[in-house]
Amino acid sequence: MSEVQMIVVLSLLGGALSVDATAALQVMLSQPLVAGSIAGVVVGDPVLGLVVGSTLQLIWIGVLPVGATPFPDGAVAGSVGVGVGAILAGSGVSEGLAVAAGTIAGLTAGVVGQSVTSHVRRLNVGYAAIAESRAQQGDARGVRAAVALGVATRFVTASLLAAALLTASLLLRFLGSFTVGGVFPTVLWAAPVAAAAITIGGKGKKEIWFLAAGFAVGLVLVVSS
Amino acid sequence: MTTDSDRETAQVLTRGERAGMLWRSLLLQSVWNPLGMQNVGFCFAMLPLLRRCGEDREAKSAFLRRHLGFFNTNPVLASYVLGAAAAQEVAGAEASAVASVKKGLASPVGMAGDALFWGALRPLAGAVAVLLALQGVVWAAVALLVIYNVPHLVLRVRGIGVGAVAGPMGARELLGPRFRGAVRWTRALVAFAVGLILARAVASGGVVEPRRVLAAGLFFVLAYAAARARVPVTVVAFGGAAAGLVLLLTGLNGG
Repeated sequence: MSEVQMIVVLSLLGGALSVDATAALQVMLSQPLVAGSIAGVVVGDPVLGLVVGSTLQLIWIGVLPVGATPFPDGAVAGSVGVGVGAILAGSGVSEGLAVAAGTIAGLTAGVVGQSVTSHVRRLNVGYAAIAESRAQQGDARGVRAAVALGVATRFVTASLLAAALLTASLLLRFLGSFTVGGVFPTVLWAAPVAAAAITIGGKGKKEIWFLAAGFAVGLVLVVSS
Repeated sequence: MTTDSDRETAQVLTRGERAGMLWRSLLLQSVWNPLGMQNVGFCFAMLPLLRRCGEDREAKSAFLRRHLGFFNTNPVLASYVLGAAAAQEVAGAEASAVASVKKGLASPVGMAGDALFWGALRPLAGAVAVLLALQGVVWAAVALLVIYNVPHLVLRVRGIGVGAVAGPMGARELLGPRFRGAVRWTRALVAFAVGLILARAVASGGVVEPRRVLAAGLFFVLAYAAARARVPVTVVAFGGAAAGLVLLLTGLNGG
């Protein structure tokens, strides 16, 4: 698969899975580990997908949609992150660096996707108005049309975002922006630490004991294996 | 197998109406907007009942408009509200009664659903799947989907039935100590699983590396303080990457 084909497939994948985040289903297909795993199979490097997807999943483990603030876009993050990793791995940088750069690209994609979601929601105001004006005449077709438009807009905007970010990463590669060796892996071991801090930092005071218990059991398992 | 509660539900809603509301409820947030929030999605999910208005244009218009009113709750447990609102419609309740059922249920059901699904089950499914991924399990994502979706789909289906039979009282089962206990224990499991993941992160190749533990400890304190101060986690993650850059440039990271 050429790089251009890969970008097209990953963009459509990110767009389709992103629909799950708000517009439809909410069966967690939009979680970064799910999107990353599928993207890993698409680019022919399932391990890359697992690592980038897991790291993003951990970083956002405690994120809640507070009020009207949407989640970071895990679907676009997973597919863009894995895509950037694959583009770099294919151009000869070390596997570790490709993974780390992919993770950072995924973080960026997730945050940009979050703000795209907010903009899409403002477009939805117009679709809702269509539903309401038709409803005045006792016509339900406006409601059905608004639902279809809402889902389609979500798919298109998320796909375009993924395509834009993946294309940008091709350009960045030409500029040699990812050549600072050894920097990016830091974010990888930092992810479990951040997840631990966030798990007990939010509210649960008693949960620190469960975290400590898990940590202790895990240490015993790791050291004894 | 037909249970008693199935038969009771069938008296209120036909099987086709229930099935129609169920799949449509998956699109509850399709037109999520800052003004009406889930209003269009709620109306869409109620469309199977529009037929009961007959061909009267006024009745259909009133039905659509009352379900296009502001609505916002947790998307999974919205099924309890849909069921209760459907029961009101079938019983021919006044528009104001239907509206007050929706309004009264939206907030408590939303809080219960957000606590269980966003605050507990989604992190649990993610943490367990990451643990599997760390063991090199390629289908870790499938575990995430199964752990989350079994309770998700059960409560989505159940909510419509319970709401249709018991009306607003059906949501009581979401507000009791058993439900809160389930949320608490699920959150405890999340913390345990994250602890396991953390242990794997500071120990590599079966050996606990003191330098890694020290660095992790330092970063933990910073990240914990950031979480308490409500700094967005993505900022913390970028901060971790920036810290790595500084360590590298000053030659302190030791490889």
